[in-house]
Amino acid sequence: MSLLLAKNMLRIYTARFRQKKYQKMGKALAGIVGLVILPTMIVVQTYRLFSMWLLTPGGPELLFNFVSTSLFGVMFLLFITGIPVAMHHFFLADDLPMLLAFPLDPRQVYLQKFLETATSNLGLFTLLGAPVLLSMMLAVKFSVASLLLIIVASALFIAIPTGLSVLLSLVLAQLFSIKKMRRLATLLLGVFVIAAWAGFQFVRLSRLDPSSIDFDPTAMRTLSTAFQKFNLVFLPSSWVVRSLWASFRGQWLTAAACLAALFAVSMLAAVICARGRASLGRRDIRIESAGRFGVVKTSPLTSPRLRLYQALFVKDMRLILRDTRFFQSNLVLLAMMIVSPFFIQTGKVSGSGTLDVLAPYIPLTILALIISAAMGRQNVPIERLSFQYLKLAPIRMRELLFVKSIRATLLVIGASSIAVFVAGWRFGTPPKWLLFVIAVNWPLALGGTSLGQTFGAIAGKFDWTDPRYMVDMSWTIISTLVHFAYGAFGIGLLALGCYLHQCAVAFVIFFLYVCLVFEMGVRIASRRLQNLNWVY
Amino acid sequence: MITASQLTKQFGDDLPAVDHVDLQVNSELFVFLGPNGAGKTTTIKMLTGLLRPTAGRVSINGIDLHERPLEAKRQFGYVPEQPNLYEKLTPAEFIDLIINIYKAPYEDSLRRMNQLFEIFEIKERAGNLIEDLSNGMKKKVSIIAALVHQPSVLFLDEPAASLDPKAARNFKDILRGLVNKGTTVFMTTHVLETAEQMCDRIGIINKGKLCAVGAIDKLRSEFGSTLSLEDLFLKLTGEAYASKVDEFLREN
Repeated sequence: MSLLLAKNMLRIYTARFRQKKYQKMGKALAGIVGLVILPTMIVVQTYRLFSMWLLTPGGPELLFNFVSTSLFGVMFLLFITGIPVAMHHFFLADDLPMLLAFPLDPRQVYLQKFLETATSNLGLFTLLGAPVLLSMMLAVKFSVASLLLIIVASALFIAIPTGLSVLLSLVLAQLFSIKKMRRLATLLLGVFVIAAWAGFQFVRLSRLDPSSIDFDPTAMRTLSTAFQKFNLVFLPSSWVVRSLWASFRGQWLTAAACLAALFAVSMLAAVICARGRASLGRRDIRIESAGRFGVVKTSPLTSPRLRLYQALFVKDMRLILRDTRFFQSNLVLLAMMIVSPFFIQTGKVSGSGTLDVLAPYIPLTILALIISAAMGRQNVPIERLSFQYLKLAPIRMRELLFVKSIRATLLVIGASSIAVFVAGWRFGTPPKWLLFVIAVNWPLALGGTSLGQTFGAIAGKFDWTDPRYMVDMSWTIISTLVHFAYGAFGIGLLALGCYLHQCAVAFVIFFLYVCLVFEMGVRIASRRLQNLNWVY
Repeated sequence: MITASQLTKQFGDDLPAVDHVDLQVNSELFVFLGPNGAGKTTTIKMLTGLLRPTAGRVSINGIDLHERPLEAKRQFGYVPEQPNLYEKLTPAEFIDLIINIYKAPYEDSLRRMNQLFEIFEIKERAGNLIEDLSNGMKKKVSIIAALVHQPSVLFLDEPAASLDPKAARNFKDILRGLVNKGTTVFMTTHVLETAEQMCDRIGIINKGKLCAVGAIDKLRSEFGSTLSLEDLFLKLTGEAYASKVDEFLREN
């Protein structure tokens, strides 16, 4: 077990730190941003929740209920997101055949795989669960030493939804082909993410946000009735909160009992998963997928250049549509864009006619920008190691990147245009303003995908096994910040021009600005890919 | 024709992986031999533009690979050691993509694709996703991708690895036929029998340096007329550890 753990530590170290000189600077920059921004996000979220506790009437009972419910939600989320991850680690991981060929007890190998699956859940828990527990710790004035208790309880807690995900994947493995099940699980996860997001929009979390003008201190009380349903004694999420709560009150026996329950269930989950998978190993598990497609249709295009563009476009679309992971992530983004007009709040913003008309479209523009960044970033690393065929090919990288940008832009502008028309119908916006919004959104999306693509070319990996790690989280954050700056500057130009009654001139400058960003993005990415040493 | 002059590749502060290699290969089947880690794949990657040389020049059919990369790349096909194909495409879709990328005459190329599918017995699987194919099948697809646009130069990195004997034989026959028609083939392999049977000339690289180039007979006469290719290879790249093998067998 320790050897397997050491192997994984070494793999992480090798992937992260043993880089070539030219990669080190970028990595260092991304690392610094990661070290600063991620903890900052956690601290900010913790502070916001803490402020909410201070301003919310309802006392400790409400706090206790809310934390229990939130943790239950996190547990459910970890369970759902963990299913495809568990299927990968327990059935499809590349190193499984080699590890099982070693003279090791298969249960040890699968115990290690359990730890890998749980580690994959760690990031999500840190972002969602940790701020809730930390804010509770601050609200009830825990000692710093209780941080240790939070860490121990959290580690044990994560193992439980992980165990549930693994167990479900073991059951499904006996019924269906694993690859098919992973596809289905990924799609279900997409639907779940959209539903959860839509649910949050309906709940209007801004009512619970002390920094929001919508803040309503009594809203929490209204929700507390619902929360009580989840504060059940047999739920592991409740054990975590109860152990912390009891330790705060000096009820050490209760705290120890809850921790013991967490420990027992998490260990039991790990052991059952490892043993269950090891016993399945002796049976025939269907891993193959029998996808079959028709023969290639002859292209009606006669120009070789157009046929090349068509072939590259179609190839990318096939990669997205046939890989459930890409399909799901793109579907989630586009669906969020399309349904977002239903969650936009109405209301006068400034008293200025134009601003009031355009106010509901600002979130749509921001969302379109975020989606164009995400889609652009995946353009290059989506190729994986097959990129060698494009690097060998007699095609200009800028042509390849141009086709990729256009493909990603079309997807974004398609969804954003639908969203704009839906919002227009909902708010009764005059058509000329809808056209105005579209005239802003389309070029912004074009520049945004090109900019995202540049980040994908600079920081993307070609040898990823999980699409979530195609681009480092820190680079993703840098890219998002750059996209916001790009969007803010572009819209600022337009706003300034219109304020000075020079809208037409402002539009021309705006288009030139977007074209410049697009061109620069394609050029930088193209140079990066041309000079790339293919060491894979 | 492949020309490499003073080709060098250095990764970081390590010793050069390829050290001032000069080569000229012209309408022949040239086999590039060397122990593991000698610099064969690094050389082939520099010859195809996948790696940028630290120093030196490469030209394909007289076209400088770095000054006119698109023209130079249009001249050759490459079979990599690891196929790394698009797993979510079918073999037919992948070859169609290659035809379009190389802007090869479309109808002719499709006909050639179908012929090669038959020769390598993957016509039945042409509509399956590549991820569902065996390693041997994937290798066949990468070979077809290299041949389908009729390049005048072929770079093959361990092409016969994981091919079944029938496919390997077909492939050898195709290569020989193409060379007879004027195609230049640059191939790396560890199978010395294949090299001996097929090659017109060999090159042996060791620790990044090219230590011998020529026809096998010429090299034999140069280094000892009775040597087999295996003995010649060992003489140039370092003897096998016969005494250590004996010691191992005695003790175990």
